[in-house]
Amino acid sequence: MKMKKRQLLILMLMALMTGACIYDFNAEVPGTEGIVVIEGDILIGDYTRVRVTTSMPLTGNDPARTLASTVTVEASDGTRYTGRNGSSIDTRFADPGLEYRLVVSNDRGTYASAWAPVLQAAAIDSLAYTISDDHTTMTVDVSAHGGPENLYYRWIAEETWEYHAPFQASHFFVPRNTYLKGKLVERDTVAMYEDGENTYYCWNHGQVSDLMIASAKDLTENRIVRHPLYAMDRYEQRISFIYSVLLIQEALTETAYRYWDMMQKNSSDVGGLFSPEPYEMRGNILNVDQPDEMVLGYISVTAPSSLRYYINSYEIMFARSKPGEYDIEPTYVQKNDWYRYYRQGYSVYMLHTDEGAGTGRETEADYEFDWLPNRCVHCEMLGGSKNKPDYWPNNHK
Amino acid sequence: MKTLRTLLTVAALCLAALLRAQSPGDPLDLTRADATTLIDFLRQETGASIFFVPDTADVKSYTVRAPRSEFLEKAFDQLRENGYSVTRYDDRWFVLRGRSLALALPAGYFRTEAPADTAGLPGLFDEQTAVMTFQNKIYEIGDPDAASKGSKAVVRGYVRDVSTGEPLVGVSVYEDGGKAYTTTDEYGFYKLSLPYGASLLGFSGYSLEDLKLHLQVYGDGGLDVVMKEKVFSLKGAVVTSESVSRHRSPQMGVEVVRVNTIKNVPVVFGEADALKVVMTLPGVKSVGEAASGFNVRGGSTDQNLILFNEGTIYNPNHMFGILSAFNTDVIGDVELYKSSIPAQYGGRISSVLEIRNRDGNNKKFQGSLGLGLLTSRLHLEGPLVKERTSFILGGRTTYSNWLFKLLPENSGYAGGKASFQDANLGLSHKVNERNTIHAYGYFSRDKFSFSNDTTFRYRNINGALKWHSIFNENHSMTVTGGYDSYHYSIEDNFSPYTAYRLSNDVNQAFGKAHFKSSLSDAHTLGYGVAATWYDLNPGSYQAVGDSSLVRPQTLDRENAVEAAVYASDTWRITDALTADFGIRWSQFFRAGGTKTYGGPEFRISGKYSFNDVTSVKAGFNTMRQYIHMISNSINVSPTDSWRLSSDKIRPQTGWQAAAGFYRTLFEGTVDVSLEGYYKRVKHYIDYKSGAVLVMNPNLADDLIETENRSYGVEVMIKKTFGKLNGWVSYTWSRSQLREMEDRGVLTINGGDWYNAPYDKPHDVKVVGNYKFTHRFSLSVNLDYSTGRPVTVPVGRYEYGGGTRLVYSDRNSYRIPDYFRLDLAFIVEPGHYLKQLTHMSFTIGCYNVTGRKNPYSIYYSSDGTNVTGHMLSVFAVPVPYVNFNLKF
Repeated sequence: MKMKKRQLLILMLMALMTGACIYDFNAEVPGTEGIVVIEGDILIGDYTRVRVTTSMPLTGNDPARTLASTVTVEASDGTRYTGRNGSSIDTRFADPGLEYRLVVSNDRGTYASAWAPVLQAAAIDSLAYTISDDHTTMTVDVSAHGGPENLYYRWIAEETWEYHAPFQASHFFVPRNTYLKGKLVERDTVAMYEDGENTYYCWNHGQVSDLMIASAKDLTENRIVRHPLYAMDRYEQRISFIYSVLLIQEALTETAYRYWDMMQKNSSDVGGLFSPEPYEMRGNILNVDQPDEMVLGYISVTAPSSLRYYINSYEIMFARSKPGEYDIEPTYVQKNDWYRYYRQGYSVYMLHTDEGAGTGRETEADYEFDWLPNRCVHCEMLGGSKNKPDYWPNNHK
Repeated sequence: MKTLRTLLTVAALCLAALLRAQSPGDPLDLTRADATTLIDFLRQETGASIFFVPDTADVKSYTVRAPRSEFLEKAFDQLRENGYSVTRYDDRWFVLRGRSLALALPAGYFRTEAPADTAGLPGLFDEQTAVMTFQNKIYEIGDPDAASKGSKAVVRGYVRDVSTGEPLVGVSVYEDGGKAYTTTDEYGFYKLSLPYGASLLGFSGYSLEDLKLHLQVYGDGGLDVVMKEKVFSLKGAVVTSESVSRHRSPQMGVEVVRVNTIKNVPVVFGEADALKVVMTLPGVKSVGEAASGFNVRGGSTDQNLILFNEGTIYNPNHMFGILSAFNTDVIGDVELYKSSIPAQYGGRISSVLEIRNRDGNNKKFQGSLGLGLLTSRLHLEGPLVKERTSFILGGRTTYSNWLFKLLPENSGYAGGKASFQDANLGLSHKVNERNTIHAYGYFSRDKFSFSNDTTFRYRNINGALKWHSIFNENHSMTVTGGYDSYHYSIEDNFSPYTAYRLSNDVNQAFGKAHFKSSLSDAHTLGYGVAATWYDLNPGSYQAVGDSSLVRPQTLDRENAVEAAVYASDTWRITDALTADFGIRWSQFFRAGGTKTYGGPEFRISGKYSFNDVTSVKAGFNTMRQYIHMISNSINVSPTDSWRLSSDKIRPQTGWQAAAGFYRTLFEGTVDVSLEGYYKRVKHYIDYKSGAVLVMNPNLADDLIETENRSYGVEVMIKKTFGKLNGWVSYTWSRSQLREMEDRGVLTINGGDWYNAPYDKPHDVKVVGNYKFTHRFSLSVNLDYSTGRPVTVPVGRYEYGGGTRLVYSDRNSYRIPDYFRLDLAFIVEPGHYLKQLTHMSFTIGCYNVTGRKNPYSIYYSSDGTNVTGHMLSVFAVPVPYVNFNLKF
């Protein structure tokens, strides 16, 4: 982490001093693809999820291709926990006193990781965040401590966040005859959301893509204090309302730590004036029949610890959205235009509140509505869904 | 006798009468006339006004046959050959024997004290033996009455600058007939064996007026000479030093960069920079802009020995390589040995770069003040004791913090700071004619910080004392002792809980004694001993602040002694063939180690001259290196550390074979050279994947050994004189590495050769300066090279929640080619002698075409997308202006 930051700083400084610039550049690089990639640490006391893919050409945006495989966690006493590629293998009750390895079989061959004992992760003491002085980024940090063993840490951060559509619609358009709660609602009308119904509250989730590792080897004790994990920018959807992260902490061997360090450097710390040269390091997975085959990945065996942490955006005083991003005037649409607007990607927002409204003289037929583009009122159009996690700490629906 | 003379005179007059009507191209002829007749003939034929004092001792008869226009010169030549001095004063000629006409007072005329040591200098004109500059005068060397011993005598002396008294280094001193040749050493001293009798001794040096002195040698003796700086507009002054030295020395691959050149070459921000100019020489490459580390003939950056006033400089950069650490106001010429490395140097595989302070002016105080965009400079020099003790002092400091102040408040870098200082001191004291003592001190330091998070500091401290002593005509000694220290530290306060300071240093004390001895006319012997004691702190890691949890650690210090003895012989086999044989035995004793390393190093070179302007040379060198730089970046970075060879880290060994062809064209103004080389190095250090280079007590386990093969051809055309001077060079070269051990699938590139990071096959460099007038000149610098090899990713994969990159063969791709053009317009001060100060200034532009030259290309992943980037260090034209005030 720190080295990366320093390299970046030097680079930036050189750039500032010398008028240096970084340009986009795409070289015709001779590509290689189809290298087997095996990911998924054996988590004793938790579910083990293994993903077998193949590497992709450098350019392009295709997601990694999954390689159909049978995945087995083998214990040194002969116990086997088997599953499919991508499935969750139940290693919750596996014996932490044994050694384990991962065996993956597919049409490319059989791949096995090296046998390894279970490393017990230290407990996570706390999670916290800091806001940069200029109020543009927020950095989440972790504190943990452990015994004299297991000085190398890796974290996986599974994030969930609640976010809102920019505008909360009170009504919705019914384009065709529909039964709502057993009542027929005619087409081309506007209906009101019942209590608890909305397209306003959504939830999204993801995994932090930063590689997060740390070492306490050079410290007086096995203690990680407010180690920065990852950063979020102002205006990101993630911290627009309530943010939650489940931090999983693993214990690594020194070799595994070096492997992750290499991966991090190779991917984000290259090309600077004093950057180290990229290099490829072999992991601990071999094709049992062809040991020379290059396989990407490192399988650690660990009993992880975890902690869930919430951040409420009200605490951090970040603006919810970029100023001006939703600076949009609702459009007043007359009834005979409703369908046309609907077809053009607009949604009903709310009752039109001109001087005529609220005088008591209007009839239901006279109700007029303000409309907005869909993305302003439908939160699902912004990447997430209405699937609220059952642990969520509020009553939004 | 008298009748004969009269008859001849009459005959001559008749002949002259016959010829009078002829044109200037027609020949005149005078046969077997005595001196008086000749003079009379000249007076009549050419109408010249000639004052002549007949010498009755002269019984020679003269025969002159030449076209009318050249007749006078030919006749004077003959008179000169016979011991007359011919001096022109206005339109009159003075032909005198045994005395000469002084047109100016001798430089030492007003000196009140007697010359310190005139023993062994028994000339007829003792008051003038201290400094001799008069052409057309005959200098008598040795005692005419002493019986001659052998056929040759030794002439020695110092060559100094007429106005500053500084010793002139590298001046060619040669007997006109090609019978003897030498160059002045770093003290301006020369020594030459000349045959008894009359000789014409030539002196020529860069930007100096050629000097030819007539000697009458009776025995061993001294001749100190002062030379004048050449006035550029002087027409017809054919100055030939570079060519002379190139064709007569057996050494090859020696490049000399003149301070004038350094000051003229446009560089970024306009700071004259010796290292940047060294990088414009053929065979010298760097990995990119803002890289001060340089690669000589396919060698790595740590294989260059950088000597500054005898001390070793471990980090020659300021500000991470934007500037070099040498102040051009105080340094003299820079020498780079890239092929034939003299036996007195050792310890590095690729090259020796030697930089020295100038000696201070020993006649009067002067100084200069310079203002540039990033730095200001001050230098002072002068005598402490006139003509005996002089000093030179230089200092630089930066005010580049203004750059940071320009940054926006919220950039996060507004708190950044960069600063450096350096100071040089040189003292020279002439104890007596035979003993000189020099003392040098150097200090430089750099500090860099970003947003109060991370601070880099490094500094060099060097001190040396040198004693140069001449035992006798044939034997001299130089004893040097000194101490060098390089220290760096990084302080990281990013998080108060892990705040640390990492530091590392190299200290060395050295002593060496070098002897030079002329066994005979044909053999010049050099021999000596050298020892270096190393004391390295390979890493110290300390907590900073009270809340830091960092565990203090210090790696064991590394101590060792590197000792060497050497001897070399320059053997002039014939006038045309010269060979240089050198052998050096170096031995390395590591404290606490069980192994000692050592072995012979051979330095052999030879030259054969077909004539004065054409020669061929060949050489073979072997080298050993016991100290290694540990770095995983291709650039020299401030975090590099040095380690000594140990039981597990073997010394690097290498050899180079080279051959060259040299020719001088256009009356010595243009030198053409063609050199080829092949070079192998073993046990060069590389790193296992995932190696930990910092604070690793078991570092040797993370290292691998590689071998290097390099070869290339360098063509250079150099014009040293005239309004236009500079050079054009083209280099074709390769440099490749291969892991020496087979580690199975882990072997780099499967054990095949791969390109070294500085392998840039084609390379064209142009450095030129054109003087419009004395004061105005235009400099140009052009650089083209093939892009350097880089390792690029060959694919991507998803891992750890994001997209990652996979790399394969090392250095198999090249970044786009490099091209850059720089221009500078230089205004020199006016030549008004009464003016107290002289101001010069330079306006220039670096990268005039604004080409976006890539320093690197790389791919990065932000977790989801892979993007290619190109980093360009100076992507726009960088203009600059630089003022210099001399006083």
